[in-house]
Amino acid sequence: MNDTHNIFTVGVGDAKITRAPHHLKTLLGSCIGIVLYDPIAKVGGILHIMLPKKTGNDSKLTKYADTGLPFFIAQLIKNGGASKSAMQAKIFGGAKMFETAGNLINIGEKNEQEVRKILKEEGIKIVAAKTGGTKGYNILLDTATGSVECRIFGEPISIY
Amino acid sequence: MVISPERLRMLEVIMKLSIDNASRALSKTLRTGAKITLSKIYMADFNEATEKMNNDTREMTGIIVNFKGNLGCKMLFMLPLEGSTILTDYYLRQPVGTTKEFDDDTKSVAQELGNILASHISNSLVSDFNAKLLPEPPQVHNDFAGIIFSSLVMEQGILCDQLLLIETIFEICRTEISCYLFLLPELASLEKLLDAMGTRK
Repeated sequence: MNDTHNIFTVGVGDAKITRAPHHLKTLLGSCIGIVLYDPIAKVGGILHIMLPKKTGNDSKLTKYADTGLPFFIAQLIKNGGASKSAMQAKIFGGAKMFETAGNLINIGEKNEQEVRKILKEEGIKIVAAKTGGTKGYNILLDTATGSVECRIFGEPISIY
Repeated sequence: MVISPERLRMLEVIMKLSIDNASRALSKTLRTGAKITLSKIYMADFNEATEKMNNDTREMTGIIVNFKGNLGCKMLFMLPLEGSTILTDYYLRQPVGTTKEFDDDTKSVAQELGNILASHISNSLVSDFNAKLLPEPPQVHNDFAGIIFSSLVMEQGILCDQLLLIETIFEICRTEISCYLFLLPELASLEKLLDAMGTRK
């Protein structure tokens, strides 16, 4: 899709914002990747959340849906020049992964529920979603178009 | 959490002994040289470590073993998908190329190799350093490398932004297979073990 120099990788529990010609990518298991894109400002980002709600004193807001999403939206507006009314959301991930992850087994589903709830509250429309399953997701956002290339392990690439 | 240089050196000695043990056992099982070399022991930032591994989108087989006991720890042995079929042939003493795809046999062999690595790593720690380590049955999962790595570190990443990672270089002789072997000790229990050994904080 693009040469690797233009692609930035988002780590787990982190967020990145960029604009064309750059791309953003991440890998998702039980985590949810929220892609927000403003087609007018042509700016977009990926937030990679691990858990639905923040507990304790952890300062890393982007690990959690309830603290990460409002922060991510504000950053897109403040630093990216995006408009909230123009923003579109696409969500990916939320798979049921290794059994060894203990009580994290069903966290993917809870993550997705919380993300959908917050996006609804924020008035941001989800225009595409591919979630669930038992395999990981490899997603790549093209900030020139807002399209997301999604490859689930063992399946062909789909564009959203 | 900060680990003193003295403690890191002590940990390096412990891990070298454990990994040498595992290396010898695996070579014997596969009847070919399996060379595991300790690459580095370091405190890694959770975001940076996962970001780095998320760049690795190769399809791999991951074998994760959880250890219970007075030293909580996780081990991840990860090898390219095609490498797991080659190791199956070595393990079953059949010509390389006999196993064409990942199937139940390949999964069983992957679990067995995980068992061998886990038991020899834990044996060293138990006999030489008085740790109590009880390996649980290995879990095998095929996925992108970055996803498997995230599964390893996820629980610790929720509790803490820092990870103590033990990285190795893992090569199987007569093949192009280059594998990952990560050990992820649980920080609180590791600290207690090092306290008991009398190393300076």
